[in-house]
Amino acid sequence: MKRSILFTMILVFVFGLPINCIAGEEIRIGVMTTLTGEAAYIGEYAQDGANMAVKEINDNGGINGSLVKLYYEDETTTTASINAYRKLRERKVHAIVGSIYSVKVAAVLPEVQKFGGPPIVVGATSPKIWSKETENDWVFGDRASDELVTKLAVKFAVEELNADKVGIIYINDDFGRDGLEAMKALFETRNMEPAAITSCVEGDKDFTAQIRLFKQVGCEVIIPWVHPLEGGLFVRQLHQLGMDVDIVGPSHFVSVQTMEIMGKDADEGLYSVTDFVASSEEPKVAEWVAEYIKLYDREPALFSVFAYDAVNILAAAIEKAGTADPEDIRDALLEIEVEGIIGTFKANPETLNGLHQVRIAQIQNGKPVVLQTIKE
Amino acid sequence: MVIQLLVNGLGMGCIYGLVALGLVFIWKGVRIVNFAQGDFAILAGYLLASFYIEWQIPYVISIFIICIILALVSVIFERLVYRPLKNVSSVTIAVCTVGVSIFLQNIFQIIWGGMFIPIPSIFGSYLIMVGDIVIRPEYPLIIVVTLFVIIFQQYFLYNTVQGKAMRAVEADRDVASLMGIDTAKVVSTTFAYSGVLTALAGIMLAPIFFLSTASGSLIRLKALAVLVMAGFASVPGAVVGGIILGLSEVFGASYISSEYKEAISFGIIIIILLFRPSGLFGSTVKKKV
Repeated sequence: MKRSILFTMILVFVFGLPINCIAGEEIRIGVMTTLTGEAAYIGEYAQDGANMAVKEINDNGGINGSLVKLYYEDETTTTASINAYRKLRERKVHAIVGSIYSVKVAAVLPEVQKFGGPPIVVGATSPKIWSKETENDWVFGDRASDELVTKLAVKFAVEELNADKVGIIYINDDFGRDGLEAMKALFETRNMEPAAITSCVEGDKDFTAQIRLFKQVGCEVIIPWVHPLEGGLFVRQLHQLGMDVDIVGPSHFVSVQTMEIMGKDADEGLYSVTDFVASSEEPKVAEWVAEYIKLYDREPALFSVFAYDAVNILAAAIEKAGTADPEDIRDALLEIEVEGIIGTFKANPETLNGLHQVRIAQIQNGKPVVLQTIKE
Repeated sequence: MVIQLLVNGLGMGCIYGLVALGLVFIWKGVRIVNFAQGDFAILAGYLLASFYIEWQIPYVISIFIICIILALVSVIFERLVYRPLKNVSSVTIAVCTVGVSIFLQNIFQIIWGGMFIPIPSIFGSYLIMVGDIVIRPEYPLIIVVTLFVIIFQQYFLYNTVQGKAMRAVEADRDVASLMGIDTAKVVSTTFAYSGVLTALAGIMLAPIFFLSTASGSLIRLKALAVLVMAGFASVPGAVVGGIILGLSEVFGASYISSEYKEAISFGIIIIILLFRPSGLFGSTVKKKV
């Protein structure tokens, strides 16, 4: 009898209490973002979001009694992003908030597979990363894949805006090329083809040549699959050159920084297939935005909300896992469902992408307004 | 549209030419390439953001102050980077200027942050309309400023004592010193003048380029390409070279491929150098062995 009671007590102790092998120690979460260089503004926004999330978590007692600490590494270039990942591994971080750049995630993915973690939540959207054929056990996505975004962009341009002549300008990198390929395939399914396709490179400042092509062809809608700075300048110059055309842009087109580059009036009426709209009237989003503005005295961008949600997703996984072991966290990421500001994260077990929702927004009177929310 | 492309190409080319002019003067004075020249131009842009936008100092006064600041920064650069190393190899000095470039980019981020800073045009939303052609007024302004600079410095170099001293130091520093010219002062003046040229370039390009900490790298690359194409020490070559680069970029992107715009424009530079290895306006120096 005494032995059975003792045995039962041992069983209760082992399985009844959360096993926290890092009790009392910090939980280390790495953040890979552009801290310097031309895209340093992305890093500033990402730091805002990540720090805000960690402050809330730590103010509420941390995760399973352990406080969270962030470790930032700069990923200005693709090579730097691989180095950033390696440095975070050396620091033995338990999980990572990764890049929003598809090209950098694609570069880091083989390293993460080779070294086996830690789990990373990224904001990359290239369909190639989230394909079932991609070998990936550790990298999870918290933004809708471009497969969904481009499908909606083309559908909106052709069906809602009734455009026969759609022009595409893409940036010549993984994000741009993958987006272009996805759109071309979508047009094919509709027995159509883009009226004009042209490109730009990162750092381009003058888009007269590209605008000339769209004007010659008589495009009614243009889909710019480019980065924020190039997109902002393109729309600005389109407006300056007097071309009256509808634009359906990617998610950052309704971001505060891109709209500032476009200039007042240039962005009026522009559409975007986006994850996040800061001026959304959804109660959860509006409350979060108000809190963010109170903390940082500026409007949040997509990059801040992604980092915020990514930290919270990792925190939820660590809490569920009950340990800070990277494999346990990875397994927990496959199971959890988290209501973030961008949307609901629930990882697809085949692709590991967890976000399947976007919004279509339009800039009206200088402010983005959500027209539709689409969940896949 | 051809005229549109022509105006844009000329405008961009003049910007590259103005920055390259700053490089030319430093080369003529001390035979070094300053890899931080593009970042000096961006510094002028950031200063414009502070003076003209944030502190609401009138535009012309802001330009004047910025030119003085850039002249001083260039002289400080000459005293701290060039002068201590002037007897060491020019490669060492060039590498130091790369360090200065990285230093400046990080200083920009500390002072002005990582966000893009849009500089509004002094012309507001006004555009020059000529039939169907829409011309941003910045581009003709850049062309006019560049012409003014060329005319001014031709007069300065050939009709003033200081200008003649600069030419003498460039021709042969030792002999110039023997003639009683304070070569150290002339070199500092050369750097200061280069700073003013770069300030003008930075102010002109700020509304077009949108300031970011790394924008200087792009301008540096283009200005260096112009320097090589022009022949390093040629003042008219810098402007002509800049215009060739600007036009080849714009027309190449429009009529051949926007994706290979850079390859096209640098390909043209390579072809020019194949036929004129010393540059468009460079001269071949023969040495007896």
